[in-house]
Amino acid sequence: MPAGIFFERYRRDMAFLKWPIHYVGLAIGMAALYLWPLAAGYDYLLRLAIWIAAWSMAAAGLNVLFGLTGQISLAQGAFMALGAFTSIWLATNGVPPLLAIPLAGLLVTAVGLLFGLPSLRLKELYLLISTLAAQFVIDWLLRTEGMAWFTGGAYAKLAPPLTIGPITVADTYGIYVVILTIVVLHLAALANIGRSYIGRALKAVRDRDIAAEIIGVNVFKYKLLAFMISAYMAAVGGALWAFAVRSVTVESFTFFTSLEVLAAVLIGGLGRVVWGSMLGTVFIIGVPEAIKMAFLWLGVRGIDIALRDAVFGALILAFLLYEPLGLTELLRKIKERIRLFPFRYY
Amino acid sequence: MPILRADSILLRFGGVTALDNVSMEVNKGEIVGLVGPNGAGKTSLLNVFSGFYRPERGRVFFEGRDITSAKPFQRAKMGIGRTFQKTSEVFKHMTVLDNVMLGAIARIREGPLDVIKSAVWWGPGVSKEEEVRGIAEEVIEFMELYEYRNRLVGSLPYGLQKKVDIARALAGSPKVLLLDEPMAGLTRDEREDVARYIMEMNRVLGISIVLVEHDLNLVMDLSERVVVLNYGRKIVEGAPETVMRHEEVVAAYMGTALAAER
Repeated sequence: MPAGIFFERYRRDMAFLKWPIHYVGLAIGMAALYLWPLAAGYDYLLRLAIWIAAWSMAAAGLNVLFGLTGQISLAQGAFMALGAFTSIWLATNGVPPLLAIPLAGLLVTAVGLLFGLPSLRLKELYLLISTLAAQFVIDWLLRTEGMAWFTGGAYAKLAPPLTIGPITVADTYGIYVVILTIVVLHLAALANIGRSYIGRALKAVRDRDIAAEIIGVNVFKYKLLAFMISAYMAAVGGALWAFAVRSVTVESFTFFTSLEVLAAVLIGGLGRVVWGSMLGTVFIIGVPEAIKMAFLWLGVRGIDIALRDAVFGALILAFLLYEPLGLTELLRKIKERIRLFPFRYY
Repeated sequence: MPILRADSILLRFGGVTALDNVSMEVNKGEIVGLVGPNGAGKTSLLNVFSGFYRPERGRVFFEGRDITSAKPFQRAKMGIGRTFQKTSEVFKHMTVLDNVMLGAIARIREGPLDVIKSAVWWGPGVSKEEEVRGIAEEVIEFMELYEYRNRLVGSLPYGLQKKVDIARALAGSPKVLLLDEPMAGLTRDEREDVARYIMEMNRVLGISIVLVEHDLNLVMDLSERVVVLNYGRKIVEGAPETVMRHEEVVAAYMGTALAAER
């Protein structure tokens, strides 16, 4: 930060974009995100990017709940499934897809609120178990025969094509652009909530709930709010995935999805809602794919899937041992090293 | 008229009677010392005032209203501020500025649409944040914390963490401030600093203060009235000079043999 330049208004001081380099960085970053497929637009890579985008929504939601508010949840997968099926159901009943996606999110928010209620009495691992119950109850409900009209039962539920007004977005790049836009808007909204008094109240609940209550934070209300935000984000992520692949089964989002999302948040960085969730999801989805490709290239066949899981598990372990604060912390350290170069300390 | 009043409070934990029929009142604009040996029930009484404990019997009044069943956060919003004995209660993973800005939550109005307003960061959402920031900066200036504004509270020394705690309570613009051992574990310099802040908050900002403290000299110097607790009972209440000479107080602090000797 340049020395000697000070802002005269708090609004400027609280802004995310303070210096020209921030604007330049944002412009380059956004251009890169939107335009890279034009240079290397393999369908496979685009599908991977869409996958990462949808999953990073759920991860960002969990990051608000776990990283900011300190309440653990293992139900993100179930909320994603609910979001996906609800949005398909809304869209098949005449709601335009772009409206069905946030609407499904809002509907699932009510379910998130319901499963957030135990947080009034339960903490930490006990709360984790109660959210695990949410995951399995919802998963079981979706698999029951009575819900076949909603989930497609043993078959896949097909989503109508993604339309914006009269335009139908059919090619993968178009879908990618639409989904990326929605994800960017949501992540920006989360970042804004994080720096408002609501974000501070959530952090207070995480750091010390008793003290928070006594200085004027309605702890239960903010816990519920965090559950609602996380359920909303997961549901929108699931809905985006539904419209991207256009066929969803009850197997699309399982307990393992929840674990993946939790791992993404832990690896990316707890409490770093935007960067942590994004980098974590890139890692959790990109690295196994990269390992798979590497084995393919090396000509390892037959045991490549098992080997991939082993290598990936070892990577996660190494990560938690050497950089428990996640990828964002690693990046911060690198940035700090560059800033101080050639000195190591200041 | 008392601004804060506890009326014959009975508080028990299992077989232990923490507060036995204790009444206490705080008048507008005064500093009341609350002293007593360890385990006398001072912190319990503060917890009854701030709503963390619910008494078995007795009522709590604030500005004439019965607030016995009000929740802690509601009391904070009414204007009962509180600091803590231990620094484990400050939010160590947040900066000083964030801590103080969070304290201002006691005085802002929270609306159901605030999530959306702050999510778009435009118009009313930002104005509210600017207002909160303004409050926080005033408090930071008052408490002389400017150079630590962007430091994480966990990285600051103990004395400063105590100061942050007071600043956080002050940001909520309390009418009554309950200070639970604000000087425990501080150096002489820091104690005098805190004493000065207490005087200033009382005289300049007009905040009524309940001061729990073990440094009796300081309490006697600062407070206009002193309440002495022992084993959950109020033994005496009155002007500092008369209280200190009271037989039971001397006995409580120094033991009965010494008291008889005097």
